[in-house]
Amino acid sequence: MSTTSRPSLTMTAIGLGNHNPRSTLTRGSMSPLESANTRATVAMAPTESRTIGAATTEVQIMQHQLPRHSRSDRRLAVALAPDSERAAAFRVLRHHLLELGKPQAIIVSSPQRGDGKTTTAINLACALSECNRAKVLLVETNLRRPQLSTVFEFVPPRCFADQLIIHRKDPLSAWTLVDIPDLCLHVGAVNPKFERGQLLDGPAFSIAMERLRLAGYDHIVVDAPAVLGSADVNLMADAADTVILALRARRSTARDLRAAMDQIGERKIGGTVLVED
Amino acid sequence: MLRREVNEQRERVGSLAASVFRAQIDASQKLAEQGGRLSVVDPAFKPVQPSGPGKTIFLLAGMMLFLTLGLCLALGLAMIDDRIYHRLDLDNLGIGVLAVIPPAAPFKGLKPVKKEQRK
Repeated sequence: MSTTSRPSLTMTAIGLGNHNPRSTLTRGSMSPLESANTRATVAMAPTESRTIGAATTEVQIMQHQLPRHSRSDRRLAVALAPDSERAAAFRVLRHHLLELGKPQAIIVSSPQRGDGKTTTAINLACALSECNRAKVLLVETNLRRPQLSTVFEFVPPRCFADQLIIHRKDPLSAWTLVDIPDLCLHVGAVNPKFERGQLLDGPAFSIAMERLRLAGYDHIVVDAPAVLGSADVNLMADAADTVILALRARRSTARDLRAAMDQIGERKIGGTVLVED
Repeated sequence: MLRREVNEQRERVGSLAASVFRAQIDASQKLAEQGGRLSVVDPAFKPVQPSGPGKTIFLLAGMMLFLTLGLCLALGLAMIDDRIYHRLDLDNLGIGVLAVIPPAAPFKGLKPVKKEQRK
């Protein structure tokens, strides 16, 4: 196979409630060639859906093997270089975050774009999934510049933004997410072809968070857009437990940080992460 | 009658003035052609040493001036620069820092798969 085409995905419908992603890990099952070419696709065994009270949150999972080649996105620090100092710093971030009271829904944003939101969100999610067999979901709400599908090198089976709109009308319909077994991580990504003019629907995001919390995830990490220049993070903040602000060293300014904190409200901000280049 | 005489006299004076002017021009041209009657009063001479403070002083003064200007510019820019460089900057702002993420090490990539393994 050519290494330029995107890996395919295999779809299996599951309910997430009793499902621990680690229980169906396929790590090490791929041959070196498959690993190098990132072509392996493994079907996940179906499990039963979980009912909490009267609410059932069904999640359809499509598995995707994390590509590991020389052109892999360097933002995947915890996944590609787990022994590095950078990966260790993200584990320190996880440790300090869990000290805040084990927040379930965590929004990762920044004052301006390009400050390291996606890097922080991805690696925080990876670090959280390493700890205590936690079930972690990484979703993207940056509709203007979606990145997750590019970083993980897959085409989302269903755009997460579209799913937000659908679930506002029908909250009980199933979610379609991508499972990355290597990282024990579920991902809800926005399709890069999503119409960029659309704005984030705040109530739809609140409904989504409510439903996904019921799905049994220990942590839901949200890769959000930048704070300044839009009110997207304000719309999302009420549905989340905490907001983390990523700052790019030698680029982010104190003025922007203050403005972002004033816009969101200091009560919601769990802390900042300084990302050095 | 008198007015006519006055006008005639005026024309005559004007023609005489023009004649005098032409004569002066002709005389100056002839003097120039003959080399004139100019003489060198104070001959020019080549200086034996440079005059003024000298290159070294100008060089030092210039260096000092631009060094001072550069320092002032750097100080001014540093004073208005509110970018965040280190954790200390956030600590000074009284903002909690959860973690500082160091730069990524250069990614060497994965080892190339040998052809034998492919088979």
